[in-house]
Amino acid sequence: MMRTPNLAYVGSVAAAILVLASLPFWASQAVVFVAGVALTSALFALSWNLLFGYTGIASFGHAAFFSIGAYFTALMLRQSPETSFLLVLAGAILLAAVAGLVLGYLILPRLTGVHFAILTLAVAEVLHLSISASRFLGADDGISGIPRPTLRLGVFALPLQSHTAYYLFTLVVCVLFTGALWWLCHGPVGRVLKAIRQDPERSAFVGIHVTRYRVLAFTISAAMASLAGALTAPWTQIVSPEVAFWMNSAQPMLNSLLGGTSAFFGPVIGSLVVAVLNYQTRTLLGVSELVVGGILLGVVLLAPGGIASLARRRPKANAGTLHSAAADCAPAIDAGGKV
Amino acid sequence: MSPIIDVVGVGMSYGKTPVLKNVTLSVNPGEIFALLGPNGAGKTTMFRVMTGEVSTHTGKVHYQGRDITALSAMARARAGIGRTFQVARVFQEYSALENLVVTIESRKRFRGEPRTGKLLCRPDAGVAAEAMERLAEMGLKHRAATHARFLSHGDRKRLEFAVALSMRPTVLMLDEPMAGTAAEDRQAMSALIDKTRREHGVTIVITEHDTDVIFGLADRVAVLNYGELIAQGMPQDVRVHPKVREVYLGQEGGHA
Repeated sequence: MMRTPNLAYVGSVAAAILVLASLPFWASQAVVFVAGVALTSALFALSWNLLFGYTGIASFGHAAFFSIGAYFTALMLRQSPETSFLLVLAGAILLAAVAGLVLGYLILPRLTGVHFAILTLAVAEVLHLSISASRFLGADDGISGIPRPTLRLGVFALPLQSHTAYYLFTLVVCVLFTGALWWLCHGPVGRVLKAIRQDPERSAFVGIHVTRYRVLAFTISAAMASLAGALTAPWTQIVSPEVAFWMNSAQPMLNSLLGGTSAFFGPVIGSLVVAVLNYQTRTLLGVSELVVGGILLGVVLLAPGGIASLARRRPKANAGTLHSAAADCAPAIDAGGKV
Repeated sequence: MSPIIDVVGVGMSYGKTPVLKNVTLSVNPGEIFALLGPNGAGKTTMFRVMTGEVSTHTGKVHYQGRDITALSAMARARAGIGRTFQVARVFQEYSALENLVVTIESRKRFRGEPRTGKLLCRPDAGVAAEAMERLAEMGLKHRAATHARFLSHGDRKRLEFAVALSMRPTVLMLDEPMAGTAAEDRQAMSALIDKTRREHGVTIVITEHDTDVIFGLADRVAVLNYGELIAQGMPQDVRVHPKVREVYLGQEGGHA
């Protein structure tokens, strides 16, 4: 947390961004498409892990926020293509932030843990069913033929219709928001959130307003999940009720757990790995899920802390400390038995 | 001198089992006040009633003349009631230093103390310096970078003490600070508590079942037995109180 990022860390992040940015110039369209989906799922996974890895809240219904962003953007681009795309993205963020704030404010003071998780799952399912039933939102067919926008910044107009342009735009937005989230997680707010995850009761005794910070984290997380959805809609150019289905809620969880929830970039690593695996096994008709599942199982068994935990230095416990800790246990047991 | 904490007629039960029966006691500012009693006497419950972790069924708790019965634990902590736990409770995944930093930052936030470099990730220099000072005071400076879960039991107790102190409490409540520590650690902790009271000017409320240490340390003592207050007063008076002697009968030598 207070460790200054070392050269290898900064270098890997920079290298990853460079590789992703250069992709359209040497890789096939299919690869670029997969990478674009991977970028938004990484952002989605990061938003989920702000709750799970940092604050200690499990949301099983994060697809709800993703779908708010996806449908809002799809509707706006279809109905009112003249609206500035940045404004549309801001609207998607704001809409989900309000939803997250209200939901968090209503539920988090009362429920946490598995009860909270189940309730978010239920909320997402209600949204999923509502979307399926809504003719305005295209019911089961969803909204297709979503046009890609033109970015207007004052006198500049940046057309994002081409594959490459929209991909690079997505990359820039993802990098910016990941950077902002990194800053948030590594500063005073991140320290508070991690304290709450470790021990909410102790946190209250150091004067931390636990519920308020949980609601804050939930609001930010909802907003980021929505942004991920908003970026996805013009990329895939179709949204269907599936985006609110629980399978889509499971995706950021899988990606985060695979990459490692205790490392900031764990969810990103997990998302990229899953994307590569899915792409590489796409021709193995029928067995591709089996192969991907097998590899994921292997990773989880070899590195229960996720892929990122393999690269991480373990906190040092010198032998002396462990030794005296063991020695101290004896009188503790002794005193416990004494009346 | 008006009491800093005033507990009036507190009654509590877990289910049908009464744990506290109409307990009335008061703590004066600047003193070391000890709550004694055998295991299961209701000491910890009394503590939890005072810190706001459990709400009383009957009775009131006043702090600095104000009724705080309905205040949450967090609000009481912010108002200046700090506490440690029987089994030291610190942020296990944080280093000793990080434990203090997060506490000091929180205090600065809720007290509205000036903070510099709010937008930076690193804690500001003032926070870091204060954290190191607290660690040095507890003799934990060499453990600053050690994760709390790797600290020895005694070191973890000292770290928790430092965390509680860095809240700059008016009243510091210590729940069995000597439980499970070696004899020499007990003396050191006792000296530390006395020093803290003198240097930080805090009022200390302490529970303990090792009565020997307490009678040497406390200014005033209250004894609980089966949820009832059986004696309250100066250590030398309480020590010879017939009811207290009855409770501790057969433990004359080592325990009162």
